[in-house]
Parts: sequence; C-alpha cells; structure tokens
Amino acid sequence: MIRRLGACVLQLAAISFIAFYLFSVAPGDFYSAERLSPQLEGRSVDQWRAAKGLDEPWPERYVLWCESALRGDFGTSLAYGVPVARLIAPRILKTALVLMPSLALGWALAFSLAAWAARRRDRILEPVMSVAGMSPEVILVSLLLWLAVWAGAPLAGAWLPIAGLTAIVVPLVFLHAFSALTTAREANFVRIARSRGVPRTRLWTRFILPAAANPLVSLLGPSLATAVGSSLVIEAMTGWPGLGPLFLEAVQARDYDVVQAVVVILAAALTFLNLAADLLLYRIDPRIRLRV
Amino acid sequence: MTARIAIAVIVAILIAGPWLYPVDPIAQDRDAANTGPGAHHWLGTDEYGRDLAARFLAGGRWSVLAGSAGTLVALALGWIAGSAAGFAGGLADSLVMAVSEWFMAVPWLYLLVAARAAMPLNLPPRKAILAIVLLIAAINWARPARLARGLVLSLSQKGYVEASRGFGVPAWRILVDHIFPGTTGVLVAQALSLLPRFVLAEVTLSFLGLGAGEPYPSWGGLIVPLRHAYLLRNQWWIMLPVLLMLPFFASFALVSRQLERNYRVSR
Amino acid sequence: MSDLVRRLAFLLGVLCATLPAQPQHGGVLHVAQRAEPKTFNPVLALDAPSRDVLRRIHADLISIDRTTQTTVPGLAESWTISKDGKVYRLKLRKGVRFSDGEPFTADDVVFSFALYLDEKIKSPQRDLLVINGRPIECRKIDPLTVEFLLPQPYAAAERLFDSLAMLPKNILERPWRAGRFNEAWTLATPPQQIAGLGPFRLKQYHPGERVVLERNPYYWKPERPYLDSVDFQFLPDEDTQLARFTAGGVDILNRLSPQAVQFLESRGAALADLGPGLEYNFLCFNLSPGSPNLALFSQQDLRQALSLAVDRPAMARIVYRDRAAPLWGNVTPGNKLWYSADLPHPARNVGAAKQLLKKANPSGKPIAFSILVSASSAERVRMATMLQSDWKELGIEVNIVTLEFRSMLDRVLNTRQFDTCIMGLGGGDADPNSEMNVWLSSGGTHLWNPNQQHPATDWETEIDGLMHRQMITLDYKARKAIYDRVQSIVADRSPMIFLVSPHVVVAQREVGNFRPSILDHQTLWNADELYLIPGKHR
Repeated sequence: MIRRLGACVLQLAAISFIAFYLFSVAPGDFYSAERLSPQLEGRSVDQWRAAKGLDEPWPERYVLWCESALRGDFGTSLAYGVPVARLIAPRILKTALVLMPSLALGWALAFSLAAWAARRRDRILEPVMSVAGMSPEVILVSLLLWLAVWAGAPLAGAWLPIAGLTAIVVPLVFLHAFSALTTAREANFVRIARSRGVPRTRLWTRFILPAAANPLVSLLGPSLATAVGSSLVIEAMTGWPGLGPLFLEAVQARDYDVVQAVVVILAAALTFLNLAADLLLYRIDPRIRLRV
Repeated sequence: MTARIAIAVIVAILIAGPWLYPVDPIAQDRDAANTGPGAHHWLGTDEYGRDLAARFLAGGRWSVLAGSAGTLVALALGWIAGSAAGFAGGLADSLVMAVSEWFMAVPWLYLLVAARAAMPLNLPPRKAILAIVLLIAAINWARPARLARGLVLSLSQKGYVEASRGFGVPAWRILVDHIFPGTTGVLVAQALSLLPRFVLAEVTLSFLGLGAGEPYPSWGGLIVPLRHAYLLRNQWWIMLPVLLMLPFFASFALVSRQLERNYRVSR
Repeated sequence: MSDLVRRLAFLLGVLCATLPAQPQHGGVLHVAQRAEPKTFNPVLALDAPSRDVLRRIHADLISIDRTTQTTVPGLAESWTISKDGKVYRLKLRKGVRFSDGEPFTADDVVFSFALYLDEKIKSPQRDLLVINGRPIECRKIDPLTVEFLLPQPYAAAERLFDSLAMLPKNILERPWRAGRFNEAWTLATPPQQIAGLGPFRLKQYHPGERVVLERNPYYWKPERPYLDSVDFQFLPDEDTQLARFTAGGVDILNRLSPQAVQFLESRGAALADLGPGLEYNFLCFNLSPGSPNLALFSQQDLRQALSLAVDRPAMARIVYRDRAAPLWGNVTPGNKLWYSADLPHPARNVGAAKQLLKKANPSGKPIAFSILVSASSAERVRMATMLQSDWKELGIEVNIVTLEFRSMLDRVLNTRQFDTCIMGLGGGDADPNSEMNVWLSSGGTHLWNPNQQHPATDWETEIDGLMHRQMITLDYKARKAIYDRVQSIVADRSPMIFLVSPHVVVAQREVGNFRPSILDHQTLWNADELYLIPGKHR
C-alpha cells in the first residue's frame, strides 16, 4: 500500500517534469505576440520577459516551480497577474458541475443499454456505438449546438455541455460493458449454471454481472481521463466557464504556471482515482486477492 | 464476413482510385468553386474548385497509409515492451508499467502542437506529417504494452512454458516458440482496432491545423469543415465524403470486435 | 385651398417619417467576446478583450471620432498648441465626476500620466508616450488646465490621447506609492473599488462567463448612456456566438469569419459591411543575413515576378467570399486619409512574370521555397494555398508550413529561420506614426530585415529619412506626399507582396444609433449613444 502511494507520487513528479519540459522547450513564449505589435518597442518586451523570469533556463525554473508547489504556491498567471490557485479554484468547481452529472448519466445510460443489448444478443448497437465513439467530439457538439438552435432550446446553462459530454462517455462505456457482459455470458461457469436451470434474473445478477465487474471497475479511470480531456474542448465550445477555456487559452498564450498547475492537478486526480479503483477491485474481486 | 469483404473492397477502390477516377485532386478550378455534385465533379468541389471525389480517393490512400504506419509502430513498440516486461517480471516489469502509466496520463496533444515547430522547415510536408503520426504512435504504445504484458503473464504461467524453463531452454527461444504464437490472434485484433483510431488521429491533427500540408488531401482535411455544422445549410455536399468514410470505419469496428471476442483472454 | 392643405399635410407626413426615432432609455445590450479580460487595470492591460471592456468604463482627454477618423474633444473641452508645436495646453471640462462621485481634476490627469510613464510599472502604453527616446511631460497649471510638453514637434500628438484612460488619484495613489500597483484593480477587485469616467461602470464579474457593466450615473454627457447595462459574454467559439445570436441571446457580433458572414446573410441578419478595414495581409520575404534563400530573394526581379503572378481578385473572391479588397500597397482603401491612389495596380500577368523570372534565374534552376503561416488563421492558410497554385504556373514549388502561432512568431521575429511568411498587420490607428517600427530599418517589426544597425539598402535609407520627416511634419498635405512616396517605394521594391484587406463586417439585432467603424472598437466605440429598438424579443 505504501509502495503504491510512493509510485503515485513518483508518477506525479515525472508527469510534472515531462509537461514542464515540453512546454518550456516549445519555441516562442508569452510575450511573442507583443513583439509583433508595432506600437511596442522590443526593449520593453525584453524587460517584461526578464522581470517575469522567463529568461532563466528551464531546469532552474522547474526547480523553483517544484519548491513553491510543495509549499502550495502554484505560481502566478502571466496573463491575469493573480495567483494560479485562486484562478483555478472556481473553475474546477464549474468543471466538476458538468463532469459529475455527465459521468453518472453516461455510465447509467451506457450500462443499461449494454445490459439490454447483451441479454438480447443484439448485433446492431455495437458497431453503431463503435463508430459514434470514433467521431471527433467537436463535430458531435457542433451538431448538438445547431440542433438546439433549430429546436429553440436555451443555449446557455449546463445542459448543453452535459449532453455533449454524456454523448462522448456513452459509446466508450457501452463498448466495454457490452464486451464484458457478453464474455461473462459465454464463460463456463455461467453455462453450467444455466444448464442447471438457474432462472434468468438470478443468472444475471449473481453470475454474469459480478464476473463483468473486474473489467468495468478498471474502466473507471480511463473513462474519467477521456471525459476530462473531452470536457476541456466541450466547455470551450459551449462557453461554459470551467477549466476548459482557461486551460486552452493558457496553452495558446504560453501561460506556463497555469498550464503546469492544471496538468498536475488533473494528473493527480486521475492517479488517485486509479488507485481508488484498484483498491475497490481488490476488495470485490477475490481472484486478485488470491493471486497476490 | 461482410465486414471483411467491405474492407477489401474499400481498400481496392482507394488503391485503384487514379485509374477509376482520373481527376487531379490538387488542381484548382476557381470558377467552379463551391459547386454541388454534378457531371464533372461527382461529389462537388471545395472552396478552391478542387474535385472532392478525387480528394476523397487520394486522401483515403494517404490517411490509411499514415494510419497503418502509426499502428505498426505503436504495436511493435508496445508489444516488445509489454512482452519483455511480462516475461521478465520483477523490477523490469514494474518499471515498464510505471513508464506506460506516465505516458497515458500526460495531455500530449496540447503540448505536441509546438513540436511541429522544432522540426526543420524544409522537410516536405508529407514527411513532416508522417513524423508526427509516428510520434503519436510512439506515445500510444502504452495500451498495447499493457495488453501484451497481461497476455504474456498468463501465457508464461501455462504448463508447457514452465516446463521449457525447467528444461533450461533459453528465454528468447521460449518467447519465439511458445509465447509469440499465442499472442498473434490478439495482435491482429489490436491492429484492426487501432488502425481506424490512428487514421482518425490524423483528423485531430487536421483540426489543430497540423494535418497533411496543403495542397495534399487527407480524410482529416475533408472532415474538418464539418466542425461548423451550419455550413451544411448552404453546402450540404461537404457531408458526402464523410458519409463515404463511414463504411470503412464501421467495417473495421465490426471485424476487430469479432476478433477480439474470439481471441479474448481474461486479464 | 384644400389642395394646398393636402400638400402641406403630405410634406408634414414625409418630414415626420424621416425624423430620427427618439432613443429609448433602458435595456441590456448583450455583446459576444472571444475571451475574457485579464485585468481591470487600464495601465497594465495588454490584451484586446481587457481593453474592449475597460474602454467602456473609462474616458480620455481627446478622442478620435471613429466615423471621421479625426480628433474631437473628450474630457478636455478645448486645447491650444504652441507655435513650435511642442506645448499642448488642455482645458478640462467643469463639474465632471468619477463613477463613485468624486470630482475629476487636473491632479488626476497628472497622476494618470505619471502611471503610464512610470518605468517601474512598465505599462504597454508607455512606448506611445516616448518620442525619440524622450517621454512627454505633464504639468498642472490650475485645477482645470493641464499642459503637455513634447520633446519635439510631433504630427500625431493629439491622437496620442485617444483611449488613454484618466484614472482616480484618490483610489490608485496608495497602492502605487506602496509599490503594489500590479495588484490594483485585478479581476478579483470588488466593483465598488473601481471608478472611471466612462459611460458605464463595473457591476459584476463572473469568472470565465461574463462581465456586466451598468450605466454610470455621473457620466459627463447629459442624458447618456441610453442603455442600462452592457453584458459581455465570453464565447471562445464562433459557432456558439453565431448560435446565440441566431437564437436571440446576443445582440452584437464583431470579427466574423467569411463563412459566418455568408451564413448570417442567408439568414437575413442585419449585417453592416464597412468595406476594407485597416488590416493588410502580405507575404514577407526573409532578407536578413543568414536567411536560407537570401541569394534568391535579394533579387528584386524575382520578387516582382512573384508579385505579378498573384491572382489577387481571385483571392478576395475565394478566401473572403468577395468581401475583401485586393492590395498592392500597405495602406488599404479603408484608410481614407492615407491611401495612395496613384500606386499601380497591375493585373495578373503570367507571361511578364515568367520574363522577369528568367532575368532573375537565367540558368533555369528549379526554384523551391517554403511559406510559413499560422495554423490558427484559416484565411491566411487559404491565401498560402492559392499562392502555391498561382506560382506553380511559373514552375515554382512552394511548400506550406503551418505552425502554431507563437512558434511561428518566434521563427519570424527571433530566430529568423524561415523563407517567406504570410502575416497581417494594421490593427492600430490609421496614422502612419503607429507603424514606425515596421518601416524604419532599425525597427523591431521591420519584418523582412529587422533591427538593422545601418540600413542595408539605399531604398531602405530613403524610407528611413522619409518616415522621420513625416513624423515631425505638421501639415497634412505635405505629410501625405511624403508617406505616398514611402508606399510607392515599398510597392516597387516588393520586400513584401501585398495581398488583400478584408472588409469589416459586423452584425446587430435591433440596436439603435449603430454606427460601426473600421477602427477599434468597431461596434461599441459609441456605446454611450447606443439604445435598444423596442421589438418582440425584448
């Protein structure tokens, strides 16, 4: 357990390093666009750059960042001039407001559909969901947006980003659930139980669903990762004031501290969720306990 | 079954494109810009007057090629890493798994946008894009690696492998003679499942403006205009190339799911 | 007799119909913006969204009327200029108050300029107030009179005052003296602590979502503003802006892409096409020492050949759906005061281009080079694609490289590792002085060969001399003659190939007194005069 926690911390450190490196090494920086303005002297831009410490080599800046991050200070936004933590906090809340309902709704919908399809040995839904899952989210949301306009639905509010995000989560979860359930259904012990006359409902609740639990719990982490990634784009598209627009704008503008903080926070959330999922799996799946 | 035939037919059409429909996908016919399907242009033209059907065929060749290259690299990297980890066990295993987790957690796409700038300018655009696709493949090795590791782990616990080890057969021989043959089925299923995703990775790149350089066509470049769904109102034909792509992706989806089901090994 | 009465009645009716409708007071105007402001501090504001919001809250001494492009009195009701053109004495209006009720005096003016010129604060506005290395000085004469001393006569001096917000000394002096000015008036500041002289004042800020302004009860223009409130919504995506506009949630749209314009047109929206704006798009050659293709590009014949082979009208037609003006010089037809009508406008001539090419490249060696363009500008990528196709007819292979915006800027402004690039300039003022750094050979944005110690060519020497002369020439006609010469040298020597200038197109729903202009802020510059026409969706 301690070892696992240690591995998580190491992973976070590695991710923060990789993200910092990639972002610092990219040519151009926050003030590049200002250099283009004919009304500003290059000298002034250089002064700003030096004042914010952007001239320092990136290893030194990384060490400085680590030191302050461990103290809880995630730096200051170059664009906004306020501490990053204060900037991000309300946005995280807003993103969670969209993320949680979408995940809950998505999982519920997908799982019900998958269970229904698996029972009926459906052959159409799977390829449809496959293709739907491959569609770029931007197109899905654009279609949703114009559908809403055509239908006269209100465009502000949380329902549009939630609908979009749900539409992205459902195919992903459906496919995993469907394959897990159909595999479980073909398992030997289920066939034996069926031949011994176990009634259908009991067959499903006591045999098939628990057998499908392992791959499904393992899906929690990746589905959250996909959802978070998509939510960034969906929020920016629908004008929902979560992390999405802030992060995407910060990436374009090279607002280093903001990008670094968001990447690390999201990675931390995902890491700990994976850890929680693994622990849950450990508790509910006796095979793992026995193997370990 | 029909899915496999569909794939073969589609690939054949894409390869035979220039002979079936000998129209230059790059030539701009500016007076015929933004026109719908007609006798001269079966799927209509884009804003420069380039024939969309020709771009669909040529773009398909390029996108599928790039997708296949990416798939091969990702699978090769992932499989080798994962198999070695699963077979060797111990520290090597933990290390590879940890590294693969890191790779899966970083939001690469946003950070990669700047990687294009690091490459020399005089790289012909196709090579530059191939390089980026291969780069994405190199990043996506993590999932095949984990799959391979799980597979190899369970295979190495099988009786005949333990026996071979006991007999002192060198590790590489065990891998080649016993382990790899057991993995081919899943490998093929993975390849078929990854290929459409890598073809679509090119679409994501196109959205970021990093797709196949102009004037070369690609499926990504044909999907990008749909980003503005309102365009369909006046130019409904931009949906046609995308509709024609659907059979490709649907067939791959069907076939890969079938194979996965057949060769499934519980993790 | 009855005939006369009837005629009179008819005339009266016509008169009533043509009288302007009376502005209605009240209502909320919803405006869509691409991004949110980054600060509420006008001295530090760097980005356009911040400036767009702040300029509704603050006022300036002298404004530039956006319809005539000349200066009009703002907070300064009149001013005199000394004979040598170096001293400007401004008389301030009486009885003006800030939005918190505090009186506005000359002390506030002197204080504001001290902030803008403060070297420790490093305001982006500072460089505008420094002429040839020496800052403008500001002096109080009496509570309603201020004097400005310029280090040298400066033709566009009045225009300097436009959009320089006058700030309250009683609020901002304390943080300034404590050295914490950078923390004053950030987005986290409560609205009551911010005071300005503009038509509106800050009411509420919802992070990432919207900023709401309410009418300033102390605004110095009587009866204005007509609106109760302005609501800026932050919608990064153009599709969403269009959707909300169509559904009625947004009243004004700026900065529309050509496809968006076409869509709105087909929907019958109220579009205003103002003709070409100030933006000019061009292809720039890399003529710095160390440029990969310097030997090739330094030949004027080659550059002129390439320029001759460009199909500019087709570019306007295809990239901007005919809502753009082809350009052969850096000043667009939209810049009425400075546009040079004498520049030649040669039509596309592939034959003549090939001849020039033969002179430049007699050995017939295959020519190939790359065009660098920002991936985020779809229009410029299209221009590059068209150039690629145009020049294919000359047998030239062009490779289009799309890079992320800042990476591209780094290559063009910093490392200079590129062949040619397509960019656009011209967002600022119409006056030539705002582009000194582009045309001076020592300038940082002299894009084909920036930051030169000494001009590399004789024509660049000539341009340097001309630009310096026009800066101190006060007579408009003389200045225009000088600047016309600059334009003709640049057009002839072609270090940049000028392409097109897009029209400024904006859309509105039922907004009265809507007088959009090609200058910033295109739709809200007269926000104090705007009102909502009563209709079914109010």
